[in-house]
Amino acid sequence: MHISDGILPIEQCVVWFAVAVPFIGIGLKQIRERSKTNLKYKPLLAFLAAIVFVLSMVPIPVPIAGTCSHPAGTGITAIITGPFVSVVLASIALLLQAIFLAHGGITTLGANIVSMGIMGSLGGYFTFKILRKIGVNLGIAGFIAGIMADWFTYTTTSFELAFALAGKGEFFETFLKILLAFVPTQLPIGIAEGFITSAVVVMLAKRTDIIEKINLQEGER
Amino acid sequence: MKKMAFMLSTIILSIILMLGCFVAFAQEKWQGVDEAVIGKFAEEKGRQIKEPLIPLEGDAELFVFVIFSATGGFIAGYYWRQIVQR
Repeated sequence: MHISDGILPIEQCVVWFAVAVPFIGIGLKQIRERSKTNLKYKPLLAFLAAIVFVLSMVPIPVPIAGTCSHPAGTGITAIITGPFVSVVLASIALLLQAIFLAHGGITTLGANIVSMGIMGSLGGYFTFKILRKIGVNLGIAGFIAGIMADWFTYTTTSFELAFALAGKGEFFETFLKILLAFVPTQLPIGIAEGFITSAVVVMLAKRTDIIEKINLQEGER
Repeated sequence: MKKMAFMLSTIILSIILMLGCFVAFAQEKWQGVDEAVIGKFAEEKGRQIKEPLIPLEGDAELFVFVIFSATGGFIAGYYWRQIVQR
């Protein structure tokens, strides 16, 4: 989902940045408030930021499709820290990847934050919340939330690309074309991301000492 | 019993993945989805992908990825220890 420099028109890049900024602002505010009362909060964020950074640059080969793709990791961070803080963590990972790893771009950073950071986090977070509310098992809720975080990310990327590349009256057709092109690779990668998210959430939930330290809310256990 | 089932399923899954590699359909094998999908559509519509800030080619790319992955892993491990410390 890393959109490189030059693909989106500059005015659209500005719009995507404008969409991303309020989410980052709220996330930073939440981090400041939570770290005042919880000494383990910053180490937790550093741990999660490293996880998102590494996960979102690991190319996983997809047999049959013959292509590679990477998980987003925002499902995990959104479940543990909430969607706004998760956007901040994704933004840091995307910025580092754009500068040092030729993944994504500087002008397209806003668009990439919107797809992976915002939509991935919101998709994962609300899926998890809804499933837990209706009594779904923790592991299964984490699994489906991980899948949704990944698929929301790539659906948004398709939307952004179609918005930039479609001619007059071709938006929906272009959107569907791009989305369908992602399916052979992203369908299995999304499922893999579901397993990773589920494993991390279940592991954290078993460590009650960690949950107490990081103040996971009741509904998230 | 659970461990045994887990190991067995991991082995079976690995074998399926390895066999699957031989029937990969993509014309250019193991291209990243960023190039295979995003790059392809952008080029079709006449968009010129700009050079990255720090262009990485050949083994230099591999080197940078290894260094950053290892550093990311180290940071994750370091802070995990801080979280679990009593």
